[in-house]
Amino acid sequence: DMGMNYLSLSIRDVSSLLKQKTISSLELCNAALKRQNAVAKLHPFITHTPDLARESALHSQKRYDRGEQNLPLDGIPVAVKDNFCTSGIPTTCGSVMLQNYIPTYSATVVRRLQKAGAVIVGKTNLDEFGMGSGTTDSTFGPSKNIYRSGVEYNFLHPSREYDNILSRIPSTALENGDWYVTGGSSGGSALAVASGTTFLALGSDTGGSVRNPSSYCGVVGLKPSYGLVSRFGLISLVNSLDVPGLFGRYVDDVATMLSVVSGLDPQDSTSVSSDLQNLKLPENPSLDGLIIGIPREYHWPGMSKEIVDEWTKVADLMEDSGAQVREVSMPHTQYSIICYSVLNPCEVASNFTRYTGVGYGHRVSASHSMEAMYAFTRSSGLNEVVKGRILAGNYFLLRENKSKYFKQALKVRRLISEDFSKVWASGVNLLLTPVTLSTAIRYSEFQNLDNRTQTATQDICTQAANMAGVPAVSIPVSLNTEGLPVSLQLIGQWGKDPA
Amino acid sequence: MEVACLRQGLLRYTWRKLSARINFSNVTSQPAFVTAKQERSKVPQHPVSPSINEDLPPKTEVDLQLVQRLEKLSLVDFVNKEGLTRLEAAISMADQLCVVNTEGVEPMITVLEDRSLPLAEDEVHSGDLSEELLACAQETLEDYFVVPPGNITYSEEKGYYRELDQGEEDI
Repeated sequence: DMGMNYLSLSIRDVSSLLKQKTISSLELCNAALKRQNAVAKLHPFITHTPDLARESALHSQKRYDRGEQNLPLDGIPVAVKDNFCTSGIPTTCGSVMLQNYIPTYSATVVRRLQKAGAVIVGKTNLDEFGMGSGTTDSTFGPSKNIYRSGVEYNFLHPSREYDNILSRIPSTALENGDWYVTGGSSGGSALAVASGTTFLALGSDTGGSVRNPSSYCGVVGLKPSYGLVSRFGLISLVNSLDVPGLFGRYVDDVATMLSVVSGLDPQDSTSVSSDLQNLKLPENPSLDGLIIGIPREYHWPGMSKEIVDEWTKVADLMEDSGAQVREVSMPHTQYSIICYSVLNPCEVASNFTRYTGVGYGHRVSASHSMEAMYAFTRSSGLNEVVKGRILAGNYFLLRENKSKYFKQALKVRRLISEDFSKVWASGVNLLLTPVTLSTAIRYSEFQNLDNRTQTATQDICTQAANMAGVPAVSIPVSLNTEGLPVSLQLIGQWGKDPA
Repeated sequence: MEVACLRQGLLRYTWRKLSARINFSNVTSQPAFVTAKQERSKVPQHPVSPSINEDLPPKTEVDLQLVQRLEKLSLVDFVNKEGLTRLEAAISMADQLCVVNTEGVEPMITVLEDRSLPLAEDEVHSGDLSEELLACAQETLEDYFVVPPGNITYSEEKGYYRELDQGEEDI
């Protein structure tokens, strides 16, 4: 089935084929939908939208037939994390609270993707309300990493000299029905891209929720600078840290997506204007003159050796290729996850007061008292992780605690942000760090830890970039001996996303 | 029956991605399988241990009064003993922040503090959406959202209240 092979191409290549009419938008859409069925047991999607997808694909096809070729993502299947509002399509946030919620509007980023011709094929799975780092805490069941899942796949390389090495990389299913987690909270989106059901996916990153699953699933995951991409329609978790994130298999594809979704949005007062609409990455990038910083504190105790090895190899490679590589220090890194553990619940406690059952969503009747109705609704609609954060947040915000916890966390946030400012001021252009402490974790191990401990360990390398609002991208660099992807992270100055 | 067979050009993608970043004419080694030059690498080969904070405040005890106060403010419940342990663990972790010296440091509320953000004019752009919005709600009457009386406080006895009250148990 030729359609399936097209799903592995870059957007540039598949767009050429669409323009040349080698393949039609509808054929591409159907191939993507077929792929969805093939990997259904991994559960990347909460809601499939095949009818809407085919309708969009038909419109796209008509545009190509008329010779209109100016939309950058015309006919390209994309997936949207289920915490972005999509008009007429259920938007659940993986929670009972919004299980029956059908928004009357679409998020700005969704509208921009659609205007660029993208074909939305479904809403992807996530940890409930974005709280988690495994995509195992969704009301609708967990998502499973495609690597070593029992789904068959092959490794290809353009050069045949690697065939011998490739054949030795394990790809068989794990024993006892165990599986690897996708990472989270945007695990469904990472999986959708990694399994070839879409070329691009939207996710959201508050503490690492895009880069963490990108690392485990072996795809490119970008968290843009805070403010660059509109949050209008992204169901709020932590307003001062949330950023819509982008997934793709190719860096160029993600750059194209960024050019489509970024830009000032009058409906989001925290969005800023930018001129990335015509973003084109250089054809022959060079590292000459680039100064790469290696923050020593990112080598955490307990980090797996293979991650440190890859970090070292790539740093050395960059040095050999013309960049200047130097060690730097970011002394407040260790406080980032603690700071997050205060700021996140505080903003959540505030944001989640909106879930009352009155205007939308889940509702449990209690005829005698409004307060009782709210309490019943919220208690039954939200899972324990969410409730735990609301309660903790309200604790930190109590009058006697506010200064000690919330205000203090805001001050430490500034110190973390200043760590970055000092590094940029010293001449460093980009930081190279690991993304996670290890490659994807087995579910059998993952489920033994509670959600709080999981996020505290897994978000350690990703969280600081959210505190400072700087752009960060997770890039797969290798496969380990278990056949799992190993990724590294590049962090840049605010606003310098193209770098 | 179609076999779920994927052709993942994974390593091909990996190389395309790296080559989007690195000019390959300078590279002679096979990057995926080269050995690291540990002796002269800038990457620290040993973990850098975070500094240990000695003077942490005493562990906070979660008592019945606090539990009821938080449940009233949050209008969610702790559910069970694990919920209480979870809060205590959250407070313990947050306590580590208290030892950071933040004298003279201003709170950072948003990373966009250095610029003036646009405010929208107070104008209606979306027209009358009352029908669509009311359709989202479960209980409505004509143009109203319906709620029970608001001036009746709610409280409910929970199993873990009794345990807290007795003061014992390993909460």
